[in-house]
Parts: sequence; structure tokens; C-alpha cells
Amino acid sequence: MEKVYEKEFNETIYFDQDEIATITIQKTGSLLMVLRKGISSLKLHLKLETDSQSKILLYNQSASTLSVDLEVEVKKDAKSKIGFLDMEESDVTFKQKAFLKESGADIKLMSAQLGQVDTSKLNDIEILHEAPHTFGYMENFSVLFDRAHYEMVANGNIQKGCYGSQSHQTTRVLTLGKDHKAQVIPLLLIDENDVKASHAQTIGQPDEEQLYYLKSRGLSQRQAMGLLSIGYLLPILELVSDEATKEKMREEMESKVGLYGHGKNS
Amino acid sequence: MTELVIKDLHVSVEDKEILKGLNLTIRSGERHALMGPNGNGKSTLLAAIMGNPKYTVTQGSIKLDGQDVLAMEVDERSKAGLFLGMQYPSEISGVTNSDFLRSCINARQEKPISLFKFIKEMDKAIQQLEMKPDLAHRFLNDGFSGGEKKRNEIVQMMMLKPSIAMLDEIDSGLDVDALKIVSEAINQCQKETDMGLLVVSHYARFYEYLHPTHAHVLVDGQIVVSGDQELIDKIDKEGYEWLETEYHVSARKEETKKRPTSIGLCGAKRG
Repeated sequence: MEKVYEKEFNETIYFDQDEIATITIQKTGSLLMVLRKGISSLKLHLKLETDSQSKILLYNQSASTLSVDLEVEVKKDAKSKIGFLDMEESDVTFKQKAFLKESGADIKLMSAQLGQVDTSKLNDIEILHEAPHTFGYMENFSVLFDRAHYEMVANGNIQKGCYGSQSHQTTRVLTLGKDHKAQVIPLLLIDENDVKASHAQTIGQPDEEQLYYLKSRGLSQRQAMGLLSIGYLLPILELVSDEATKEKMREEMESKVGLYGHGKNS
Repeated sequence: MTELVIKDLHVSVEDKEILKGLNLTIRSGERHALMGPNGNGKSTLLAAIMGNPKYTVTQGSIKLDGQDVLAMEVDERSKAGLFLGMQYPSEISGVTNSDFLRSCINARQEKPISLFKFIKEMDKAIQQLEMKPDLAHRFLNDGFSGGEKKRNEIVQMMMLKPSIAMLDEIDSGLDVDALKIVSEAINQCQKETDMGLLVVSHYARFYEYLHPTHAHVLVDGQIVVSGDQELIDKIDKEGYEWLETEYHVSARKEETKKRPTSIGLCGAKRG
């Protein structure tokens, strides 16, 4: 599949089978890519052309083992936020590499994953700075239940000569179950002096004080943990432009973390 | 008529006994002021009633209309009608105030609250507390000033309509104007719900606004004297020292934590 967005856009694309796709973005817009039942592998090449601005969200609803391989080329002054939302009770391998080709290229890669019971979520993400004054941000949030296996290799790679560039990353993992395994490897490979870079990561159980506070207002342990989990998953919905779709996805989130949608009690 | 009855309550924190046989009864419509020197158990009492897991009840009973509060989980206590406005409310990023409060309201009733009714009630509470209208959409206490956090506790109290509300130094961090606003909101809430109030504060001015019906002084884990507004006035003028001679008690002194000694140098080499 090949697609070129030459005008402003706001579109939802559904993938129902294995796909190799190239999408070129020349203007401003947002894209929701829903990976539905039937797909087990997606190879996607995104070309973000000069001065384009985009918000792109890949939403996993495949309900079976999935492998995503995403390559992103970012040209001069192109700005983009790309996210991966995955709350499925199935294994996922997610590879993503962004090439910041020309100055002013600015990308934020986000992921929000719910490590359901006995699932494996393996991620390998890299932003490669190939030009000066390029900006790369990574924000990876996940919530793990019993025996979930989560891996996140997040690599900010600034090559020599890419002065004035910035690479920042945050990974936060909330562990709610037992016997889960979380491995987070933040990497900063920097071959230039005049740059800014940072990484932050937290892995841990919910804060006891926060849980007590929520429970003191009448929420059960499960509801309280659900609310805390929502805090990890919700930020990625900023990539969805359509309010109705956003609300629907949010209800799905609440249900999956144990809140059972608006107004329902657990 | 709701009645919270505390009998012979002993509470420990990390094997150290803080409350040593405390008795107190609070009924609907009453306003109890709880005073005492720092570190003598006021906050411990409130936290133990609410069920903070850090506090262990070793002896005694707490009953709410005959129900054994100590046998309840924290959320069950809240649903039974207890509310604690905390001294240091938690900050929870990612959870908006409105989502949080709707979940809390829905957790305590059969049918979920209608969105229209919820928004109306929340707007009313926000206006009464003179908070910024965007409060509903901000993350719970995240980035709030000290005063905003305290006001937000009162917003929650107004929305949850408890039968017994406990307020732990809810006036600290509030300026004079905010103190008046918060007091009026508490008074209004009590007028509407007839809740019983247990208020911990060091400031006579707060009590002036709230007009307590009862006042108690807690020293070394026990209530040593109870009274009314006169007692509050006396403590405001004379402090707590007279209690030690008159009631032969000795206030527990707050432990001062040792600060690490600074050697005035940084080991890291500056490049």
C-alpha cells in the first residue's frame, strides 16, 4: 500500500491483514491506524516531508501476536508525534526507528502499553539524529499485570556534527501484578559536544500514599489501581483528534484497567 | 442521626504507642475542635479512624452507628460516611479531578450520577470555594499550591457528602481570605448535610468561623480536657503549658530530626 497526503488530512486507516505500507505526509493532519483482527505483521515506512506537521497513532486491536516494524524519515522542519497504543491480551514485538534527516526535524515517539496477564511486549526504539538542530523525544509508559514481560530499549543516537540537537526520553513502568518481568534499557549514544540529552525511568508498584488517598474517597483497591493506570495510558490520546473516537478509546482503556467504563462499578 | 463512638483507642506507629486510650463521641450536627501540642496524636487519631495502613490499632473500638469501623477497609469506611480532609493530600498525575470525583461518587451509589447533575454540583462547589473553573480538568492536586490542595479537599467533601467529616489542619496554607471562604463552605456543607465535624487546627481564627460545639485537648495520646469555645479561647491566650500543671500530664515533645552535617564542599569535579 502506498499513500500520499498532499493536503490537510484527518483519517482513520484500518489494517485487517499483513501489510507493507509507505505513507508520505506533505501537509498537516492526523492519522489513526487501527490494526484489527487478521493482521500479524505490519511494515510501515513513514516519510514526513519538509514543513509537514502530523499526529499519528497506531492502535493495536489485533487480538493476536503482532509484529510492527516502523521506519520514519523526518525532513527539514517537519514536526510529528507518533504513538503506539497496545492494550491487547497478546504478544507484541514493536520496532521503530526514526531518522532525523535535516535540521529542524522534530519528533516525539510515544507508547502506551498494558502488559496483560502472561503477555510479552518487546520494544526496540531508536531516534537517529543525522543533522544539526534536530529534536527527538521518547515517552514510553506501561502498566504490567501478572507474569507480563515488558522490554523497552530506547536509544537516542546523536551523530557527530549534529550540534544543537536534543534527545530526551522517559520510560515509566507501573507494576500491578506478580511475577512480571520488566527490562528497560535507556541509551544515549552521543558523538557531539554541543547537545542536550536526558533520560528518566521509573519502574515500580503504585505509591502506597496515593492508593490510600484514592481509597479514602471510596474507591476499591482495584478501582484505585485502575485510576492510577489510566494516568499512564491516557497521555497518548492527545494524538487522537476526533473527540468521539477519543472518548471511545478512553472508555476502552478504563474497562481494560478495571474501571469498567464510565459510571460502572467494579 | 449518625454517631461515631471511639472507646479506649490505642494506636501505634512502628511499635511506638501514640494514642493511649482515647474516648470520643461525635454526632450529626456537632462540631468538635481537636487541639493539642504537635506530636501528641491529633493526626494519628484521624488517620486511624480513616484506616491509614501505617497506623495500627492495638486496643479499643471505633463504631459508626454500631458498625465496627475497624473491621472495614479504607474504601468501605468512606462509603459508610467517613471523610478525612488530609493535611498533605497526594498528587496524582494523569487522573483529572472530575474523573476522580465521578468515580468516587459512582462507587457509592447504585446508579451512576448523571453527567449533567455531576457538572452542576462540581461547578457549584468550585464556585463556592472560589477556585479556577479549570479545576475539573486539572490532574488531581498535581501542581496545586498548598492552598489549592486544601480547597480541593473541601470540594471533595462537598461532593461526597459524608456523615462525619474530619479535617486535618485544613486551614494551614490558607491566607485570611481563603480561610474565610473555606470556613463558609464547611458551614454551608454542614447546614445542608447535618454532618458531624472533627476539626484539627492550631488557629483560633478558624474556630471563630466554625463555631465549634465541643473542644478537646489531646496530650500524650489522651484527651485530657474537653469543653467548648471558652477552652479554645483560653488555649489561644495561654497556650498548653497550664494543662501540664493542672492535669498532671506531660506533653510529648516533637522529635527533631538530625540534619546531616555539611562539609561545605562538593566531591564532584567541576569541568
